[in-house]
Amino acid sequence: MNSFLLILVSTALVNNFVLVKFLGLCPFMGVSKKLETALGMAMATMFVLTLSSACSYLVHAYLLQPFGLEYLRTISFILVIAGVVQFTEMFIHRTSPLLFQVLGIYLPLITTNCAVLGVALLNVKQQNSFFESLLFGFGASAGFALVLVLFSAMRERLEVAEVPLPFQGNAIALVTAGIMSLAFMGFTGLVR
Amino acid sequence: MVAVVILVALAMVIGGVLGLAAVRFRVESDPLADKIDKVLPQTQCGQCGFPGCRPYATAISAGEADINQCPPGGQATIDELAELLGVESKPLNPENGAESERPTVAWIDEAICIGCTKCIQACPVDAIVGANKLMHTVIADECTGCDLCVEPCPVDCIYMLPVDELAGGWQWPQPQADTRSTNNAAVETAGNGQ
Amino acid sequence: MTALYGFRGGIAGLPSNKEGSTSQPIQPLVIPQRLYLPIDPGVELLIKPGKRVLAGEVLTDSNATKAAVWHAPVAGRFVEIVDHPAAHPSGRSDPAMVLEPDGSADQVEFSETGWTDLSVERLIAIVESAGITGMGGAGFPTWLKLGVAESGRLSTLIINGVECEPEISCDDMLIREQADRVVVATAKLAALLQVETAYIAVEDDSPQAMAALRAAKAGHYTEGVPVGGVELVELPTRYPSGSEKQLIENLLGKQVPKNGLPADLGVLCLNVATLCAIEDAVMKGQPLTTRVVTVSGEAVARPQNRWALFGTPVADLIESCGGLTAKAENLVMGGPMMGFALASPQTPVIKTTNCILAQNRPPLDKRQPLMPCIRCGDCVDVCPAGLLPQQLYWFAKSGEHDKAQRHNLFDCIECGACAYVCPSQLPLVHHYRAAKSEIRGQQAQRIKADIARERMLARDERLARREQEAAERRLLKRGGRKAGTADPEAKKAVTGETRPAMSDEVATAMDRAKQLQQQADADETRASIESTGESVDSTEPGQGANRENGE
Repeated sequence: MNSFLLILVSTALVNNFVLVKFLGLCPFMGVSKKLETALGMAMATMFVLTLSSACSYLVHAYLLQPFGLEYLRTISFILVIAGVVQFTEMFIHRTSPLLFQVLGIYLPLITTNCAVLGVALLNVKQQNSFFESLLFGFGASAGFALVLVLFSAMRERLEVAEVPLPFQGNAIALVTAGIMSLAFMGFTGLVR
Repeated sequence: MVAVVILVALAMVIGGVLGLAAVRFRVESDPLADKIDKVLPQTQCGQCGFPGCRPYATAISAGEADINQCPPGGQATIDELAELLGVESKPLNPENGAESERPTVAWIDEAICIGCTKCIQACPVDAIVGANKLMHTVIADECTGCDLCVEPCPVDCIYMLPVDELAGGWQWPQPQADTRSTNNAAVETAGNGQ
Repeated sequence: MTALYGFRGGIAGLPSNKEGSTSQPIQPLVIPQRLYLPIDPGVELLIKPGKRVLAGEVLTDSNATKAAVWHAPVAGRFVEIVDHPAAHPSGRSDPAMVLEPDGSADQVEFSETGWTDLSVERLIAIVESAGITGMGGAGFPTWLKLGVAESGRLSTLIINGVECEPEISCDDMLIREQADRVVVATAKLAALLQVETAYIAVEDDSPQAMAALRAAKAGHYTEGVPVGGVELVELPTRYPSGSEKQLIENLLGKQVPKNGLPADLGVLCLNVATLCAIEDAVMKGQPLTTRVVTVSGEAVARPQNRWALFGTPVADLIESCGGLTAKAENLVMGGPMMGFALASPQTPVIKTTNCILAQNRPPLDKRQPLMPCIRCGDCVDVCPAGLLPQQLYWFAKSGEHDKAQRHNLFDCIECGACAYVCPSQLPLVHHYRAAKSEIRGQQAQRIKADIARERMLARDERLARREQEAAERRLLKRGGRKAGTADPEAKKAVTGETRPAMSDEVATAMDRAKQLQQQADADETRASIESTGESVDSTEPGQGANRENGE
């Protein structure tokens, strides 16, 4: 039990994928202009990450390892992730056309989100069990969602504030992300 | 060899699942055109190059038209369309016309009208009342200011007059912008009075 | 003593500047040379220009427009209708009736009713025909407000004598001089409306008003007038305690629901001047034609309260108060917090004009240099409506209307407390007003666009239907065949030899016409022969000569 809690806390806060590992920055910057969009994206990514983390483990453990094909992990993980993302896209298109439209190109771009592939590969590296992989994926996506929502809330405020001309737009957003990253450094030492 | 087989098998399984999902989660035709049409001002003037607001909306949703072709909608409509479609906003295309300062409505000079019904046929929203050889008059409340009626009139008796401000809804002017402010394109300097 | 619940936010210790205007009694009427009475849109004039009118004569009929009727304040001649500066923040000129007082005291006959045996229905009719609207500043039609009494939901009557805005003291002076009338009228009205409790509320910075009310209540107690049920309440001075919603929250501890009215809580809140107007209408049959106006401000020679006729140009009113000492940078109708700047000193006094200010400083939104918001949050502390003025400022400024609405922009009562405390002196209320009217304008535009779309679709449908009907008709005419396949037999049946039998008269007439035609042709050819000298075969008269075969 303890170790599961540890995994969750460490992936969500201490080793946050966006602010500490600097993975998944594309949707982080691209979808964070509005809070509603960011929330939708966060939910989608959570679903994709958790599911693909589990599926990747299964593929690796039962398909690749028995046949000694570990060197094929990258390509097969990409296959799995792409499949899961397509599935998610269809699901969202059906259930919430507005969200689908609003997310636009960023929904299929979850495929190329390095955080997703990163989680899958890290699971292999850390030799996690199935349940550990699942938690790892969930924790990582929870951390991603947390940071995305926080960041978009701040960007909404920046939108209407009086930012000096050279800093307007993405520049001030990146500066903010940097400061957030500094803040998350405070979590070091929470978990050894 | 095994590797190829395994990969192909994996791909086929995933593809199969996706195929099933595609059938299960099929979505009907895109209502995007409806959403775009709701944003457009319904002037039905044709300045965008399409015969009405609905055809323009359909063209935008099909990617055949740009979002900056509507002068009556003005920059506000372009911004709203940009937000709806998740694209960058842009300025109004000058080839389609200029944004008018004040809204106008048509007015028929009844002394000159000859009752030819050409303007009635031209009005896209049936805002002109009249019949052959009888007086024509514009229902000001329904007129969208598209000026499609001005051209067909053989005696040039239709004028486009600015809308009465108070009846049209007087608005408090925006206060002066902060002198050091840099990103307030929406705020204009205050006019007379308040 | 009534327990008070207090209300959130607000500013205590606002400098009231009322010493000047309250140092003398209310000054009497000064009749100007010309009165300008505004003509509200949709209103019908009952008098023609050029006619002489008597004081109290009704001049307009509001039809169904909910606008109050106007009465001639004094006897005089209705000269003409002109476009005159309106008492409206836009500064535009609107049609107004021009009345020239002739100095006589002639008036129409007033019918006295009295409070005994008065029904609520009759009261409402009296109030409506007297043209009484709220005189506290908002100008809501009082007869509509009283309508809640008819539904039987009324439980509390509050007479609002809480003049919280600085500079304004007209209600205060009215209470001081007419406390008797105020107390008796409140009692009578409370009895008529069958309320459980009636309050008269004043602020504690005017002890004279409270003393006058107490004396009046004590005095009438012995006369048998049921003034015992009227509670006199003194509120701690705090802006904006006189605002209807804040007053109700303070006295009763209940909040008027969002988008709701005090009537939803069973409360009727009337301004004290409105109450006096109702009393005049009921007891003496007098319509509403005058009010007390406070003339104050740094640039006025003698700040005071004065009775003024409706339609008096502001310039004349100021003249009667000694004129201006310096050039007034800003002429305001209303108080310094909630009033609006006047475009012209000729603007007339209307029913909601409680104060005229002549200030030496320009209005808040025209002062330079404008400083940025420092996000201190002082505005949030003082907002009586519990809103976030800072957020509203950012949204209003950047045009983010939906976010502003989600932050309850329309619950703002525009009291100006936030602008008062702002260290950067930002014109916050100006921003909110501009945003509100922009949102309203956009909503109206959207409705208009929807209607236009409906009309266009209906028109397209009509044209399509017409087209289809025409096609069907054409199809019928061709006997069900497609175009271009005309049967020669069928054609002959329509045009030629096998024509159905005609009546004799028609046949005779046709023959006659043909003969005439041939005669004319023959004459022509003869004429041409004679002129040219050539011989031409003359056509043979008779049947069938002109018919060509084989069409």
